[in-house]
Amino acid sequence: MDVKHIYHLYRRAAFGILPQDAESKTTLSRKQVVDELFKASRDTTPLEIDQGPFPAYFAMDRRDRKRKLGELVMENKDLRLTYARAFMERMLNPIEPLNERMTLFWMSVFVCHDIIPPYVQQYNNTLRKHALGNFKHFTLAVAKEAAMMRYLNTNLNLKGHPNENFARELMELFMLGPGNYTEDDIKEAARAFTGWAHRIDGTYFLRPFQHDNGVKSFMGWEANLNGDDVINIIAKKRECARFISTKIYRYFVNDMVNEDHVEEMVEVFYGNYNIKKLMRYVFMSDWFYDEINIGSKIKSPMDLFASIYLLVPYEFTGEKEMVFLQRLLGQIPLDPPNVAGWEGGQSWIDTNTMMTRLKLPSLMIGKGMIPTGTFRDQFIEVAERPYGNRLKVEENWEPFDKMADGLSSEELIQTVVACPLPEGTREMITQMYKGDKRDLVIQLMSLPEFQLT
Amino acid sequence: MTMKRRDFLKNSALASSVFFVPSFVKAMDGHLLAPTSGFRRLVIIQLTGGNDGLNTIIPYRNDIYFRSRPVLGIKKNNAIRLTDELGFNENMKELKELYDNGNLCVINNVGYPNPDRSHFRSTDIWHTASGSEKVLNTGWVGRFLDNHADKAHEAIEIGNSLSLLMKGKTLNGTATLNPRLLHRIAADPYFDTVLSNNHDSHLSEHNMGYLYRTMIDAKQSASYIYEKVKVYKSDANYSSRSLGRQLRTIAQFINSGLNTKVYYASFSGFDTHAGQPRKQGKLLKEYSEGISTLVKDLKKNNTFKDTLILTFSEFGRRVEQNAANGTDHGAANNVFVIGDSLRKPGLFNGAPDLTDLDDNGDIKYEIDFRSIYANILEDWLQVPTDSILTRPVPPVRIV
Repeated sequence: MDVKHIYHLYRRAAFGILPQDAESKTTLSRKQVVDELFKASRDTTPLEIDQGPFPAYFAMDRRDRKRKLGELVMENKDLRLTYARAFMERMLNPIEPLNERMTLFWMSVFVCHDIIPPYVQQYNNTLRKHALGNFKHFTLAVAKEAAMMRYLNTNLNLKGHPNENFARELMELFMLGPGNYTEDDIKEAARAFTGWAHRIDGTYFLRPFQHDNGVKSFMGWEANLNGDDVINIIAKKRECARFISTKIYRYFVNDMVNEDHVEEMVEVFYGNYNIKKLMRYVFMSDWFYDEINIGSKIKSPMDLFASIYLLVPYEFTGEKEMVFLQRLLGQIPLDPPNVAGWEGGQSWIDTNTMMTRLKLPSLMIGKGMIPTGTFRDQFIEVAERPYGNRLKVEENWEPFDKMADGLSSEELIQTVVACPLPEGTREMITQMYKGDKRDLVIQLMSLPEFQLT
Repeated sequence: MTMKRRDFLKNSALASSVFFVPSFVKAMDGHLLAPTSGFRRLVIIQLTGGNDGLNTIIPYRNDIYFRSRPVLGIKKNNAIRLTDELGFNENMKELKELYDNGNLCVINNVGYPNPDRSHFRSTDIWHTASGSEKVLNTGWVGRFLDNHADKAHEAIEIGNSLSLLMKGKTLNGTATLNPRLLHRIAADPYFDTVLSNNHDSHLSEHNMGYLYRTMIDAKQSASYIYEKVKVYKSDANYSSRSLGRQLRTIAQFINSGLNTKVYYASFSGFDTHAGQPRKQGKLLKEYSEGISTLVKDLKKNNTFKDTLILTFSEFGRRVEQNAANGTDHGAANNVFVIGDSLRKPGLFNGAPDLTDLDDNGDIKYEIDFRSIYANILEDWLQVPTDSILTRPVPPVRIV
């Protein structure tokens, strides 16, 4: 397999690959490389942190609980940040790279937010568990998550007083997309989800007396439907397979959708809803490796962090730096901007985020300025970290120095930048290069081209 | 959004002429002369999440209102009286002062045919001024920029990222929360080197072109805003919460004489499916106090007379409350227009007709939101509407 295609596959399906690892796969066929990728994600390692006082509190008899859950949540706010950091670290150093990438993808589909740390952890691990599983089972599992029930008010959806929030988002954002259901479908589906609830420890149960056992008329069905039925009926629509295939195409292939390719994906996905099979199909397709799909997507902030980290690992040494930067760039993985999640593509980029992104590598792994190879830089006032002392990051150049030693500047460029360098940019970089590979990598990472993956 | 090659060339030609002068400010001398008086601007504030209009402007004599909202209904003695029929939410006493001064126009029952109850779709409809059957990928402010502006900073969103509202076909607005920081970043000399070495040929590509164009816009806006704003500091007493901070920045920009024609800020939290009274009360109070501080600040600087403030929400909420003491997504809603030269201050029209709701039990629209846009474009910003609104809508005469 062509090294360029190996880079492409790993940038999209994982969080990148080091040059020596990419090089070692060039003797393999595409099938062998893809097989390896899937094999490495055969198991799922949950992401768990010490949940402090919560497990004991949940295990207690209701009458023995002297404190309110809300108080406990407020007192243990730090756990949320601890988990967010653990999640970020997991993505930067993935144990099962494809699975971790899929987990991040599903977060942008099954958008959810909670403030109770054990619910956040449970939810996150449900995504991880099903990320390459069966989409129908996945949707059901997500619907029964305490965090999701709280986020979309399913737990407040009572017989006689249906709350439509979950039913609407299920169809609009999770399974079908607008235009494929009616307002009546929403009202009837909401009735089917009445009585859904969770125990304090986050496990699902049904309150039988709050569940509406009447006949619902939903998408052509007339029966006493429950929530599981509703999800199964929606999945019978081919639009459901198309909706998810389109999301996967946009995320993994190109934000400009090729309808023919998506139709092929629908053909593979519809009916069985096997996510692993679908992803394998995508990564095996010739079109996945078309020039038009390589280095043409705008990186998400997470991609940006990961692509810097891969070559020059860093550590946030301050408490809040990570979330601060994530917020500036518009993606805090456990804290979506709204129910629709992150729009992605060009919406990541505006005047504000663009400049922050361009400056970020020099702030994180450089000295706050981007080397230009000329003397005058040192005298310019902006040659300091513009976030001042707020940004505490420690970078580690050692692995890079070792790795870059055996690489030509041309190979290094291919490792850092996903798209072909335009002529003008290449000239500039060549002119500036005086043999210092650290400078070169910071220069490359500070190019608009580095924003593409 | 996609960019045509021709559009890009236009922009990059513009950019390259800038790079060869020592300072961006110099290249923009012409703009520095923009008059601070008589230069009309629009401030748009979105109550994001769908504000419950019925508990904002309360029909406290309406039996249907109280029957539909046994818990959420607000009684007359808990509201601020406007007329025999209608009153403000008690958290909005500052807005009542604006109302009494003739600086506020309340337009009831604003919406559009076949209302969409998705936050995102309905926000897009309001942002793009499309009908609910049509998807547009430029905002109406973006199209205003396309036709009547040439710099990204002529429309500014006070936020970390740019909304569809502010995106045009050939020109996008600027997003910033902290102009000082943006300036310090954009001033890195490496970026000048990068831009002076780029050629047009590869930049017409979909995403690559977009990245370069945004970079150029960012550098220009950042230095312009920074140079203009650095001398001015508002001493008005804004709240330190999100809306207060955004409004303070807007006032700084306006009072510094920026030639920005449109400002946009989003104020979120209005999606009150549960526990509505406390949540909405807090938000309305923050809104009312914030707007009042802004108006006073502008008046003091003699800029209020040239400023119009439009407040909308992507939809109203259902008339009937739900079981969680909240309300679900609805349809038509009230809109506020605040300014010094309103043709019809006070209540522009009557209260919603709760005897005539749509099939979902939501308020029907009486005034198409695009007729308010048409009014603002024609009579306030004084530009023709036909290139901005995709089909002719007769304007209402508010301003």
